Amino acid sequence: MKKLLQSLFFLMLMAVTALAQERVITGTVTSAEDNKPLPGASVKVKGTQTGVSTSAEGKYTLKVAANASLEFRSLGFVSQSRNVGTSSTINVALESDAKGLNEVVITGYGVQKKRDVIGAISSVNISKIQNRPIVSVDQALQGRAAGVLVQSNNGIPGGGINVRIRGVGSIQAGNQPLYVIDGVQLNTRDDASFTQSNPLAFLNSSDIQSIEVLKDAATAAIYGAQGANGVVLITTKKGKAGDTKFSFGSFYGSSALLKKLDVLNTQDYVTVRSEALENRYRDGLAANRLYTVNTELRIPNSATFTEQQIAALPTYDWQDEVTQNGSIQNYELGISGGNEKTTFYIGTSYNVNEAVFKKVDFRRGTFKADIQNKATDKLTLNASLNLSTYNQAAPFATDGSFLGNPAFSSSLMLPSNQVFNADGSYFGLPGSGQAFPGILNQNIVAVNDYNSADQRTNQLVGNISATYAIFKNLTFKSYYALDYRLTQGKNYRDPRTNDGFARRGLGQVQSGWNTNFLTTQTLNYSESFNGHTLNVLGGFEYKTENQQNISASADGFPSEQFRYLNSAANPLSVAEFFSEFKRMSGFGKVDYNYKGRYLVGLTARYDGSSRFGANNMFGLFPSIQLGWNIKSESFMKNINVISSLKLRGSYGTTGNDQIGNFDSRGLYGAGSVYNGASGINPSSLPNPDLKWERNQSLNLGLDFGLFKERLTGSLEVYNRLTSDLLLSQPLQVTSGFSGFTSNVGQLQNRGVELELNSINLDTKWGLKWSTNFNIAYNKNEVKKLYGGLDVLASNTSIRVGYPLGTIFSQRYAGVNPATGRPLFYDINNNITYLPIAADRVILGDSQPEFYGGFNNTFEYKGFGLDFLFQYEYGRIVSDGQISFLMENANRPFNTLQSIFDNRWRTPGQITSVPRPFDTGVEAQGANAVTGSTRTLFKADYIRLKNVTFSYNLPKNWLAKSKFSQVRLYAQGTNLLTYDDFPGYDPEFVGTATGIIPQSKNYTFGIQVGF
Amino acid sequence: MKKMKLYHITGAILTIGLLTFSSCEKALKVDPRQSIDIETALNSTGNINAAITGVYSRIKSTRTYGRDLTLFGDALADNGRFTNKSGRFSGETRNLPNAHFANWGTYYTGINEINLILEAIPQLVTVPAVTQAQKDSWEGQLRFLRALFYFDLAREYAYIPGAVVSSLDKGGIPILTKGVKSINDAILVLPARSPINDVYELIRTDLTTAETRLGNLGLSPALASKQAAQALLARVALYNKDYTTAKTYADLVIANQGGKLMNSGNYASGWRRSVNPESIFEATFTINAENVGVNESLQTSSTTLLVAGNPAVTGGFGDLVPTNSLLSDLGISFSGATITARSTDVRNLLYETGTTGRGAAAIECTKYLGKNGFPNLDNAIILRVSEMYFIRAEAMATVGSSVFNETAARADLVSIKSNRYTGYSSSTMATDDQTLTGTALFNEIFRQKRIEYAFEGHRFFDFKRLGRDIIKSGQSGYLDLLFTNFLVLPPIPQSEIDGNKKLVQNSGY
Repeated sequence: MKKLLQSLFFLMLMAVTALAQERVITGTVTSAEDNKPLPGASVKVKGTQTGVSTSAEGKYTLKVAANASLEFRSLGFVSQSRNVGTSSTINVALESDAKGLNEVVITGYGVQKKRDVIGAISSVNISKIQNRPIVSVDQALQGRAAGVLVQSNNGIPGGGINVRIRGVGSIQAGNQPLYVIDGVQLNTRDDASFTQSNPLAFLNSSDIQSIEVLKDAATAAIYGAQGANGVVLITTKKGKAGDTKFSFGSFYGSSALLKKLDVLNTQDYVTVRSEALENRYRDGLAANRLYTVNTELRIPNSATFTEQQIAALPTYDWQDEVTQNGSIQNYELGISGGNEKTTFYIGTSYNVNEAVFKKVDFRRGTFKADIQNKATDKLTLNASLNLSTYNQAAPFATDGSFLGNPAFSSSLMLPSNQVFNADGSYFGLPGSGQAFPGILNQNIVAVNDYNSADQRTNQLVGNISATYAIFKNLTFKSYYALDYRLTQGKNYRDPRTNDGFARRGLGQVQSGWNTNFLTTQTLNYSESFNGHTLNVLGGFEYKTENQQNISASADGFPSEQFRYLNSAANPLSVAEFFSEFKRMSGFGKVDYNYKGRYLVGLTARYDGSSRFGANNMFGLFPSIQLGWNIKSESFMKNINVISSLKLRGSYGTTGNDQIGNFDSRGLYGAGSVYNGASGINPSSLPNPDLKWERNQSLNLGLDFGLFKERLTGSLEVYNRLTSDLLLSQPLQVTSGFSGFTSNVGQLQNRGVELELNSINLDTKWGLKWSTNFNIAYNKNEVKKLYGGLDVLASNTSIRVGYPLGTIFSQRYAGVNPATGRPLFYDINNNITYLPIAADRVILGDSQPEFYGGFNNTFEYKGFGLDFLFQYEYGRIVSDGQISFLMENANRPFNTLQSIFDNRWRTPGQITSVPRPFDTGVEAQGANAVTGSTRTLFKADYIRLKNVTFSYNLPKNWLAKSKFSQVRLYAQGTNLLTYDDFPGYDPEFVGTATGIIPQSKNYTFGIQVGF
Repeated sequence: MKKMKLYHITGAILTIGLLTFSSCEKALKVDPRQSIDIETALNSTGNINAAITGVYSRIKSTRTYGRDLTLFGDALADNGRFTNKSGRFSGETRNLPNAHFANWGTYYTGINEINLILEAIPQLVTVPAVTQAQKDSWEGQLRFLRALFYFDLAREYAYIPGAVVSSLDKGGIPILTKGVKSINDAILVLPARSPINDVYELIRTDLTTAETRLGNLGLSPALASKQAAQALLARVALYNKDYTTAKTYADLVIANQGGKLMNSGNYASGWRRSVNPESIFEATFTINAENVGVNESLQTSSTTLLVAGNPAVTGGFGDLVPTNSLLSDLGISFSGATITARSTDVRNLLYETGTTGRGAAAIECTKYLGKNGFPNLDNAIILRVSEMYFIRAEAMATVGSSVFNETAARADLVSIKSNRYTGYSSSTMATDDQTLTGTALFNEIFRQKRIEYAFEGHRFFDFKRLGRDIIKSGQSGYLDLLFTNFLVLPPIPQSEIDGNKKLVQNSGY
């Protein structure tokens, strides 16, 4: 893509006026490394805009003046100049440029030479993320770019991923960055009804050419009201002129649970549960043991069980029953080729991910085609199409304490509950006459087996464009894009399961489609003279996004064999949904530099959006960037240690418009029903002043290269201030409304990012060791709320002077050694059994202070070893699942072994785990598992996220075959985690109750080029 | 030449751009299709009807009659104990702080909706014009609903006139009679608590207006009627210790609807019908889409049974079950969860042993059994005709009442009991009842009311309006709720207090 765009750029400059004394020069441009021709290299007459690109065979023909000098450039190579002299043939062999300073970087609506970049842009090394068993590309950013925090919602393949660039910038509007794929501003809202379907899962990562993350507001300002959370620019592969090349890849592997939660066996459970009952009722431990076994666990004929009989009771491992070894398969084929006029790329892939937790399988087929045609010297046409369909088996619930949710219930299930009867049928189904003991009263294996649900997403992301060179340095581009997504789901609660039994089965279907249309018209003007380089971009953009949905549900099915709504007796609901927004924008950008030494960038965007109030529909988002290539100064010439040095500074404004489409409107909505009629109720108050959140950020950056670029890096410092925060401002509910969306409040993110790339070893005998290290520190602070409030009444985690997600809770003081009862600190640090609201203090926050990644690559004669660690530090979270598992059999469900082992048993015992007590609430006491430091955990971790061991078959082996490349590799994901976290995974965000955990994966793969 | 061309092209593009921007407002116009603008929403007959339906839907909320107002009256008082099968009702039955009524927001939202419609009706211009009969019907229903909402708020959040703990009393509740539909109006709504008598006066005015506007009760008690307004007037007057008015309106309802009183022969079967024959006004759940679901419905709250008499099939949680003292008043003898004998009181036929599907079985109330054709889909009765006999009897049996008449009170008591006990007229109970006077008479009326309206939400308010302590300690694990305890009143939502200095929180919170 970079090459393509570069050639495009020069192509635009081709139409030049013929000068006097013309001569025709021909020649071939090759790579000095392997003497192979370089197609698409640019050949330019120095000091003019005259130039051509080389053909598929690396050949060129150019008319030049006699005294001209030619400049040869190709991406990834050091450019060369030659005086024409008298020769009519000039062949050039270009040296490869490891330093990559001339590499281009995709920016909004254009490209920039890396050395001219003034903004904070992270480019993701694409070779590191391909062929990894990830489903959506946002996961691939994890640990790869400084200041980009990537966290999973859960382990559902194709599930939601949280990406936060430079901290959390909004409280109630969205915090996800804008994703732009080949210019298409994607809608990334999850529309799935029955599971999580990440819209970014449509893309096969092998079809990606490059990923750039725009982090500072000045760079993102070209995206105006959408740029506040940063922008991720994804460019997909384009064809290259030359022989048609095939590349086939496949990997296969298996996945396993990261961790199994260590819970009690039947005997330990009986012990702790009977203690809990005994501690409450004091009517004899032996009697309570029998009560537990007979009445609660409902072991048949156990009313007079002996201790030996209790000891002989079996334990059933429900976690094993709902999990499996998953499998991962991926097959893909890429075809690329073309000639000087037309190039194409076709990619196709099939991916199957059978997950560790049963019934969240993911299957995807993708097709991609990209075609580019130079219709005339002046007109270039481009069409790109990504088609994708993926199907996800939907779990009972993606999270939450639903009894039928296997991810919730499997670890909490009473261990004496059997899965199957002796005859092989499921135990304890409703209507069978067998009661399923415990609060978790559903046989989740049967529920999982009998229910069926799936979610299918069909997605089309495509664009067409025409670029016309009006003059040698003025081009016009007309661009049209469509992002269309159809999300369809079907969910069936089987009549044999608890939730479907009484209603004889419940069926739900849903179909939603999102049509996101975008057109951009841009004019680009560039000029170079006397060392001045000027590039001016002006554009106009219009976007509409329309979302519609229909759904229906019914119950009363004849039997479980009937799963379509037409066989249901009782229609329950039908629903239809519509929403839309429109946006119109004008934008401009001026990039100027003097001899590549002094760099200036000015950007402005004027956005109008239907989402905002009539009085504030339009907003202006300007930015300025300044850069200084210090190394280009004469005084730096002799400092050889420093091979490159650039200082950058920028200030810019972006907006956040991620709110509901009609939040500024005062509305009456339908939906209430009474006495067979449908009613309407006021749903919102009008706010004609509603506008975007305004994000202003200052960025200072230093790019450096030392020791001939053996060590390169960037240091960034930023201060990001978000004002006019979109917040639901509460009203007295006596007014009839609980609140309205308003622009109040201020939030600040300040941080430092460091990225280092080094080549630690590069020996003559072929061993190369390189390292990438990145770390980000971010400090988030709420600066202001509305009406002088210090704390948001509806959410005590939002407090002025503290980060979002501040934990405000009670402090656990351990166990009273005399009684075994849980103790807490009150506000005066005295000990109390019953803490009250006023005893809460600030205990930390759920945002990480530091995070980043550490990647090492070893290469030796075709062997490669690559491993990535990622880490987070400073996050404090509670884990809902663990809170349940800490209850210590205070209610009839299972508990953690560590809790059991450390529980208080005898007076004088020093421990942190209180005695078990039925209901969990001792007289005038508080439940030890509700909100205190006892249920807060540090989520610091270092994880070996990815290890790849690969081998490229030597070229001389392949020389006689038709293969140009054969690469074999073995890969592991999430292999090791160093943490102190009791839950499944410290990486998760959210309450983590009943979520499907991530897995560790082992894959083996092959890539073949021919 | 080329430069000229350049200028032309760029000029043209810029002009197009500017022209497009100048028509921006139009290009950016998107209207929602599932909602309508608040300014013009109430400008048609159809929309006013729909908006009134929207107000009615508030009484289905689980925070109002959908659950809390139908069952908390029993949980907070001495009728219900919790089974811990889902954990629900564990706070209310034990009178823990904050485990109480919480429908402040639901009702005030509904009150604003009513105010907006009442203001819109006179402004309505339609062709043909709306008839006066239509306007009367609208206004009658809205006034009735506003009175009901204020009455429920007042009897929950404030003390009831004549039964006030003055050291804890913080007044009545805010009165709002103007509709709000703009932010500017909304932020000015910072009301203080009006005196309790003002609130009862507003309720009385609304109800007497409603009574004149509304027509007679038709086939369905789902909508407000003249008799519903009269019956509510009778109850409000009884709470207000205005015994003459209470008797007047009870008389009117009995004259019109007294014939619907169930008897000992059809009492149990009447309760199995989707619409109770005695019902004067109720929250109706017609279609399964209105189903509250398995967590908070009346059925799941009160029983584990799906079908009466079939403990093999488990439905809901059965969280709230009768206390021993209620079972005893019902004439049920029991051992554990097994019923060993029943008295001649037909009302105890609505109680039976539940399932063991969610833990130990308990004797449960089966007034709610998914009577509208689906599990968890039951109407919640708000007013039924038998209550008028109780109101009249109590008004006449209360010492110092202006309509004090023990003979007539006994006659009303007999009217109830003879229709509730099989073979009542020939029983010794009948002869004993004729000897009841004074406190004994009053207490028997009070006890009969407990039996009649168990699991219908009356009990707690009957204690509260009389200023009586609630004796719960007979049931192990429960403490008495003395009338002087601050926990008799629920907290006003803290966010309301935080945002409004004029609004005073109830004592203790």
